[in-house]
Amino acid sequence: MEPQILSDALLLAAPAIGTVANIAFQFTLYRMTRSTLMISIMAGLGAGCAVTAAFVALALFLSPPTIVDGCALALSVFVIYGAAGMTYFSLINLGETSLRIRMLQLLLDSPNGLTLPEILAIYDDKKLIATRLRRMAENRRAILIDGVVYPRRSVLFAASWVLELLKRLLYGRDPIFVSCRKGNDRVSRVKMTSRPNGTSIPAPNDPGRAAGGKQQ
Amino acid sequence: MPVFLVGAGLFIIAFVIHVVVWKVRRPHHQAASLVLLFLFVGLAGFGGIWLLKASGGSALSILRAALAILLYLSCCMFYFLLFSAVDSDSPTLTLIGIIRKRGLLGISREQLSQEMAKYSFVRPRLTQMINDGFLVQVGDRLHAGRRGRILATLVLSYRRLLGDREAGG
Repeated sequence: MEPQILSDALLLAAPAIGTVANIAFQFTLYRMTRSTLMISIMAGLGAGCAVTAAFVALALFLSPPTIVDGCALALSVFVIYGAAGMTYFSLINLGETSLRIRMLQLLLDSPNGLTLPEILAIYDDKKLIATRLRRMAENRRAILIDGVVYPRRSVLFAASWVLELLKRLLYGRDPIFVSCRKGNDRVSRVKMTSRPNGTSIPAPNDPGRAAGGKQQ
Repeated sequence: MPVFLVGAGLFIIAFVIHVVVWKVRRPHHQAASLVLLFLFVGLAGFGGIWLLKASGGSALSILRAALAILLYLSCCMFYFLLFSAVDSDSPTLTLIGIIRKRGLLGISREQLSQEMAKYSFVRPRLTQMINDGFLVQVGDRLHAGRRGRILATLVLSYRRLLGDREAGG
């Protein structure tokens, strides 16, 4: 096989093999040791990154490109590996933090289904916020001193900043999470009207509640 | 270099089109529209490159073209994950956004709770899940829909494999 083709094949395989190493390492570390989920995820990402880097180095050694070309190829491979790692992280994180999964599990555990008040009695906004605050403090994503919470440089804070920029760019308004502001039924109003049976989950002060649950 | 230019360049083109479309008229089903738009731009872009190659004008080999396609799809995947947090607000990111806005002054837990009380998370999320087919409403009772069952089974099965049983929330 020509060195150029072998080099390209290695570049193509590098992120896939790196991702397999990431998953295997994270899974093994979490199952076999007492490491926390976050540490196992970070260690897995690091291990996969090392494997990917080794394959990239081998590929570039077999068919040496110019420095600019080599950097661009390496960057491309690491972006692909990063996206795969991010997807895996999201899969694990969905089970850990997702409100959707929490709701779905509640409903799967209740064969007769649940009403909205029943769901809110088990898991409401207050409980949700308390859980998130506790998790943030545990994972040291924010600094808590004498009951005052301070920001701490982390990936999540960077993500929050990027999201704010993106919301400004796409929606061009005060970006702090407008859709969930109380009294703003943007999500509910738009989507409920498109539902075939027109039913909804009415808010206690929802004008549509008195009108049989259908909002206009 | 061509691999990076093609993959990242196509992503930037798709992103610019996405911003323009969203500014002009935000689609009803944002997530599905976003996926379709990026798929369309990707297909058009790589179709063009394939035609160029067939006429002898492109220097990308098949393996390098595959790498460029993977790079484009990866950028899209990054963006879809980010956009999912834009489409449905995350409680954690809302918390972090409030803390970050207060900067070095910090915010007391009481103030933070008051700020968070201005937002509602569970109810809008349930409504969104009904509209997305993850939940079905029969009378006044909610049940997991087919899509919801598939998603929950996938995520919770892997969580069980990892050794955890309960969803965190």
